[in-house]
Amino acid sequence: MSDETLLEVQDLKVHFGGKKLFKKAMVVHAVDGVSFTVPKGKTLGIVGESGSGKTTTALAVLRLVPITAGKVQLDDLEISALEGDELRHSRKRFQMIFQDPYSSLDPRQRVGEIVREPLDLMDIGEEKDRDQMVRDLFVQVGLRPELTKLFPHQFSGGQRQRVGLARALSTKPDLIVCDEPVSALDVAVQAQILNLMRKLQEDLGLTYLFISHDLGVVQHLCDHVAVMYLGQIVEQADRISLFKNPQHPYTKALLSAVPKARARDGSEERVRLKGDPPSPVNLPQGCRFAGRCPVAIDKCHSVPPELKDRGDGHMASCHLLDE
Amino acid sequence: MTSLLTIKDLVVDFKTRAGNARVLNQISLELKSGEILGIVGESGCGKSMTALSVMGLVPSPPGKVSEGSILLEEEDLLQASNARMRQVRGGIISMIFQEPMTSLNPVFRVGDQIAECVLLHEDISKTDAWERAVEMLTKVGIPEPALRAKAYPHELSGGMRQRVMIAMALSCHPRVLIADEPTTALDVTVQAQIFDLLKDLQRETGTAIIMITHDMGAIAELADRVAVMYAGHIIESGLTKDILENPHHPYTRGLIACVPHLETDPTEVRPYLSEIKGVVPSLTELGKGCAFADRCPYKTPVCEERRPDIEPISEGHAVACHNVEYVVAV
Repeated sequence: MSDETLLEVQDLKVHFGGKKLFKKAMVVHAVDGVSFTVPKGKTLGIVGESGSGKTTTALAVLRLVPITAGKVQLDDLEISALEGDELRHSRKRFQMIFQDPYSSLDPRQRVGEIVREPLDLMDIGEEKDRDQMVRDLFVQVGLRPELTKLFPHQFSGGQRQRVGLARALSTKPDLIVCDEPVSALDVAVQAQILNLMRKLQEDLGLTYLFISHDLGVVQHLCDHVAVMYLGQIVEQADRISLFKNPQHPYTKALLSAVPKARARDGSEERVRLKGDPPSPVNLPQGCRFAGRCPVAIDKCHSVPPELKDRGDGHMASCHLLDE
Repeated sequence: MTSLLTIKDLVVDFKTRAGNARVLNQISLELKSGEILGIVGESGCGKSMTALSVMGLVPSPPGKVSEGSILLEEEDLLQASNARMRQVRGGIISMIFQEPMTSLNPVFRVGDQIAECVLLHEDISKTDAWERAVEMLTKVGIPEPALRAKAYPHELSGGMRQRVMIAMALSCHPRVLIADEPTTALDVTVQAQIFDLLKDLQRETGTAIIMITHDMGAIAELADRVAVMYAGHIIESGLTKDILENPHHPYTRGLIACVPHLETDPTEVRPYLSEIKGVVPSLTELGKGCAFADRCPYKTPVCEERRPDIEPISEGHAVACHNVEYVVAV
């Protein structure tokens, strides 16, 4: 990656739980040794099933869950080392858009106040200019500025997500973490929001960390993609390489599970996974995917594979690729 | 093939504070035995309400079935007594709901919940009903079914719970299965498993399925025929292949074009997604014209004056649009 790196995450671990007084210790390995970088002005997509740790990774980057180990570096700022006031004031540089536009806006606040609140808290601009700044932000996300006086329940899902975007943009962040920002929206509205996100990225040079389970959306929006399974990245590559030439059996299965929106001709090769992912408490000894893998060999059940470069920065962790 | 379920000119109204909302407006559908019919549309278009009408579950008040008929072969379900509807629900027509997490009772074992359904409809002993439950769990591919039947819903994963729901719905060998967004809450790999399961069961038992979804991909995967709904109207219907490859209505075209489909061979250039401008109109404020007119790029004066009827344009393919020839030509 020749581009200038904005976000660098090294060996990030987030474990929940621990020693109980009378019970055996139960540790959930939600994120277990994840490393990636996001170049400035680009989008990294993290995909995976529920429980794969993609949301926890996003929350850890934002310091919204305690980090067990590892380092998160945003440009010159080591996010993972910040504490107290320093952390709070740095938050203006990394913002978030949430999944559910219905529950992520305070129903008792007018939407203008919702967008203005970060400006007041972070003391951005002159106080008298802030109302105008809010109106400008509304225009930027495609809302009419006179709507600032309304309450969230007077908006549709798509409009609310625009308010969420305006709030995230208000502090002029370098990085925006998006956790399934369009999955609660209808497809027609989803297209509007995705186009808006792309336009804002082009205009403002934003960097996105984009969490999603929808591979079509990720393929459309992201420049680089990381596939997570049970707390680890199993494959990571640029967008074209990953979708054209998936290496890991899990990625292949994931891609073939997505229904194609055209009538089937029966020619496609299908990989069907059996069962559900194992629990992140009792992790398997070898490769974490081995139990569901259609091509697993003996070694897979005993030795965990390493994430290695398979050419041109296309990383994948699978013993079968080592041979 | 004979028609198993015929919905004819169904109108459902809801009284709201903002006025009368016509949530279903002259809906006509036909389900043949052994086929899978997809109903697709955005939230609020009336697809779930169609399912609830068939089940006789429209909340009343505020809802009311105002006109039309729902024929199960010769019998009009709208005229049927409550006692008869109880036999029909679960016995002849059964339904799978969207949320497998909330549709199961958390305080009963899943085996008991399936057995309860069997006991209500058939004159058999409790032991036999339990055995049927285990048999159904085997059929939907749950490992160690005898053990799992004793599990409570919270002990099962989302995919497993949806399988239990399917087992329950099929336990009395219904002739029609209505699946309302059966995989929306599930991961793609599990969704693929459920689709395969539904297809296999359908082939085995010959149950006709009405599949309600917002996902064109799910339609492509499963359905034989599709009806596209918008603001309480069916605006296009036809064979899945025709609708997906040759959509005629501007809304259907927009709906297919606005989704970023997963390509096996992505290109370097990424055009912006095409959008359908605006939002779905409020059902209380529909004028006399076409419901889609405000958002339609091909609108002409007639669209605002008169609502188009759904008319056949070729064998089995029908569209409700005044300007269909023009739309297809450009």
